Amino acid sequence: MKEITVLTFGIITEIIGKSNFVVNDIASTEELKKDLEAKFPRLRNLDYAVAVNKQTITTVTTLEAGSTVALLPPFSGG
Amino acid sequence: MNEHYSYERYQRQIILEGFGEEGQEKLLRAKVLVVGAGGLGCPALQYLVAAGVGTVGVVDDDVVTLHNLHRQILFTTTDVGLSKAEVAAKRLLEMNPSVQINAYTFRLTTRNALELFSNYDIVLDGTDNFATRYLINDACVLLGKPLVYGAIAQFEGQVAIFNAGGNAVNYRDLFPQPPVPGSVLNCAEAGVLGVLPGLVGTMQATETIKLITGMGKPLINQFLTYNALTHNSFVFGLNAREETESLLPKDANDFEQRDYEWLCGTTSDAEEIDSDAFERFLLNEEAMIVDVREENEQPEVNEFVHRKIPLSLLKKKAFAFRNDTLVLFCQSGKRSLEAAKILSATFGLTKKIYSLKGGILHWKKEHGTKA
Repeated sequence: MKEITVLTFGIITEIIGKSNFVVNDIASTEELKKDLEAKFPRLRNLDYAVAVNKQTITTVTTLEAGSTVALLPPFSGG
Repeated sequence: MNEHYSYERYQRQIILEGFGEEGQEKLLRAKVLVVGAGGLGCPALQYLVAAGVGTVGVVDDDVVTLHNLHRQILFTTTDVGLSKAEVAAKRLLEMNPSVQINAYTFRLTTRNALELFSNYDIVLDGTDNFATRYLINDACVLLGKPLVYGAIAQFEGQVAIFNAGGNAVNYRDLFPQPPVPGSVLNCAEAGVLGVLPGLVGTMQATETIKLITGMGKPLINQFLTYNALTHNSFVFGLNAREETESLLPKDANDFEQRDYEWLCGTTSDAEEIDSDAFERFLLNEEAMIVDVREENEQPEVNEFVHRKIPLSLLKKKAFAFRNDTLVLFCQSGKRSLEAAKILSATFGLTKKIYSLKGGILHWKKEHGTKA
């Protein structure tokens, strides 16, 4: 089984209800986003950056066993 | 400037290995502009001035309010109602009279940003809204100025240095477009732990001092997240996006023409209408009436023809709106207004977008029976 660790921040943590969890057998960042959006529809109207193994990505990225994906929403407060 | 006096003032940092008198002189020659004298700006200003940054500018058109004071500890209760920039400048000068402090009490706009920024080496973003954040980013990219970014939400913070060094990454590489209005809450809506901006603003000051003196590894092209509840902190490397260039203003003229407030949905062309006006739209064949409630919400509406597109799917289905006039409703009028703002941001002036005030519940009470 291919375990992927997901880290979430800000409002994404609020929507999902946890900031650190493991998902299994997700092939790509796109699949992860679709999967989460299906479970948490509020994510659909949200723009956020995605990092894989501590580096932000600019295109859909394949996930390997042990990959860590971070979902980073923008913050406006100051 | 009195050299002996300044040595004594800064002695504790001058004796640091890698800092020295050279580091102090670099700070003295540096010019830093802090945008926003709020939760982030105040602590950043305090430490930059205390550390001896030679010229510090502070731009803020706001006044001190009572609900600022739990986190903006440069201000006191007697400052309520006074200009933030002016009070900040006065207090900072008392802290360190050898520093040049410039207070700007106007609002940062596309008309004044480029001229103002060009007088400084580094810009520190201490603002509290997306409109100004995108404006600052785009101005810094145009001028090639390093931008020390900081932002907070509830218990979490973000810090980064954009637009510095080779292969510089900017804010739009991370977040290409402003978020849909209402999808990300600000401090006024979501709350903030008072000490959090103190921590994050201080981190911004730290990064600014590292950037000026060349000490350590500044967060250039990196993005730090910090959680005050867990003290968890992560640093992410940032990659540039190909499409970023197409999103940035081409030149000063293009920049000045842009309306960042509108882009970020802070001003909206969405209009709220009452039940009577709504009735008139029901008779207007040009208008498309849309229920933005989620599926299976009660009460059902069968008094008039309408489409159902839930708010959660709105952004994805915006292309389905072919009519030039859209009239949105939900239960109470709150979500339809949010939806109207989303669609206004998407369509700009090409469509007229209305939201039924009071929602379908209010309409049913007033008109439902005769429809």
